[in-house]
Amino acid sequence: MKSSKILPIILWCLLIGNLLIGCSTSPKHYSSSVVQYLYPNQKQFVETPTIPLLSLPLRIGIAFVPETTGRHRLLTERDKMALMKTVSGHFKAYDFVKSIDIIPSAYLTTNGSFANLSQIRTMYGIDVIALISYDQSRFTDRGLASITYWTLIGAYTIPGEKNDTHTMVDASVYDIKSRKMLFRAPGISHIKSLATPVNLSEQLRIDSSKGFKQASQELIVSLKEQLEFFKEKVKEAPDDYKIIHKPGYTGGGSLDIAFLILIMALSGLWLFRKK
Amino acid sequence: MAISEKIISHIPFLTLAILGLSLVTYALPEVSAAFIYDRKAIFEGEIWRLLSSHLVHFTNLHLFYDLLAFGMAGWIIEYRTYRYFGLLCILMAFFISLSLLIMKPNMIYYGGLSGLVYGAMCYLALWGLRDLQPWRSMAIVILFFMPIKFLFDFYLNESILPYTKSQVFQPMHLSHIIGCLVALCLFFIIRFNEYRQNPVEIR
Repeated sequence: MKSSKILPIILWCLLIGNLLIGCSTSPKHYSSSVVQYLYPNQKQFVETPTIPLLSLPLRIGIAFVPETTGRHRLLTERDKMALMKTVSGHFKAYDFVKSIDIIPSAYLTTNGSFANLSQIRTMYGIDVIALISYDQSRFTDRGLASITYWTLIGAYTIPGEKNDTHTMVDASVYDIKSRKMLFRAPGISHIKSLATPVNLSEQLRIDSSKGFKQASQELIVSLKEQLEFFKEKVKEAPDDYKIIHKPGYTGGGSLDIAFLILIMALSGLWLFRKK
Repeated sequence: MAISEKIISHIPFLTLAILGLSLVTYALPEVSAAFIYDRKAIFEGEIWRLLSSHLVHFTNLHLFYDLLAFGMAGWIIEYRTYRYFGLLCILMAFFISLSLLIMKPNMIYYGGLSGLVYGAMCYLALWGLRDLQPWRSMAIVILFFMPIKFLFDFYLNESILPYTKSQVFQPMHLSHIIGCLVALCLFFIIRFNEYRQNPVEIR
């Protein structure tokens, strides 16, 4: 009799304990920071950029900022190259871009700042650089499903771990000489999944990769938008950006739609008058 | 006058010839290559490019806009029998290319009829000032609109905007201004000669 009363109490204690454990998280964080790379150890530093002189068509470099999480790196050089190739493909579509150079991570030193960028500028002959940074946080929680897993059902039947993977990929485009940021574009993703403790690490790797892919796709869309905004910004604030054209360009005597409409209106009026 | 003669007299031969030549040039890359404004080739003695370069176009849209506008402006000028249109075209073509040669040393290639279109429009409006209403009002509007348009074009030219996905060249607004200046000069020379010949009537 006594044991039959104690058993439910023990089970309830286990259940509540599991619930409490289920709320705990074990986050993992991987990141690389543009601010840390460009302005290392300068918490209250204010940069005074000069007016960028954009010599069109532009030669652009694209590079990944070194990781701030030391040796714990999330992306391999191959992953980075793949992402940079995708981004560069979208830049190439614009005629104001003459060339895009993909710069290997080894050329960017930790906390390298603009001194490092100036070296890269000399090496590759680029005017503008797109610095890609990322931030990924993974959270693994034991939810209600894991309670079921621990108490009633066999080990591999129901996924017990709830995974949250938050990823942000950011591209900041800088004019190296003037040290001015021209524009930036972010890409964000949030992946949720379930896994058993046995395949947890595998699932996290899949989520991580999926998160990067999604964030990269969003980054490309955002990059296109920001590029259009930038064009407008240059138009609205010509004093903030000086545009010149490199020798060897092609000129064209072309008309715009406003002028064409004027001529058509004129012809229409003339024809109408004739009648 | 017979109807056929009347029709023939109203056919804008010069305009059609320029449009036809532009189409042929666009269709045949070899002709385009021989006609295009090529700074280096001009300095090597291929001076016909100073005139022929305006027949060269780079994209379908570039060709369409230029030919449509030139076709309409040229047609009205020829229909209204405003004099010296042929001379105007030659002078505009020459002086536009010459000014680009002097003032745009970094530009290696050039093509397009738009300088001639602007010049033709200006010429049309100047002659239109002598005409009856509402043509005269229209001419005044055009002459008022043109300087504003030039300022706006120069403002846009200093931005990244001229570079769009479809455009393979940098719009050259200088050619528009030179085209108009040539038209203006020719018009005043004609008027001055008319005045010298018959001062009372001109007044």
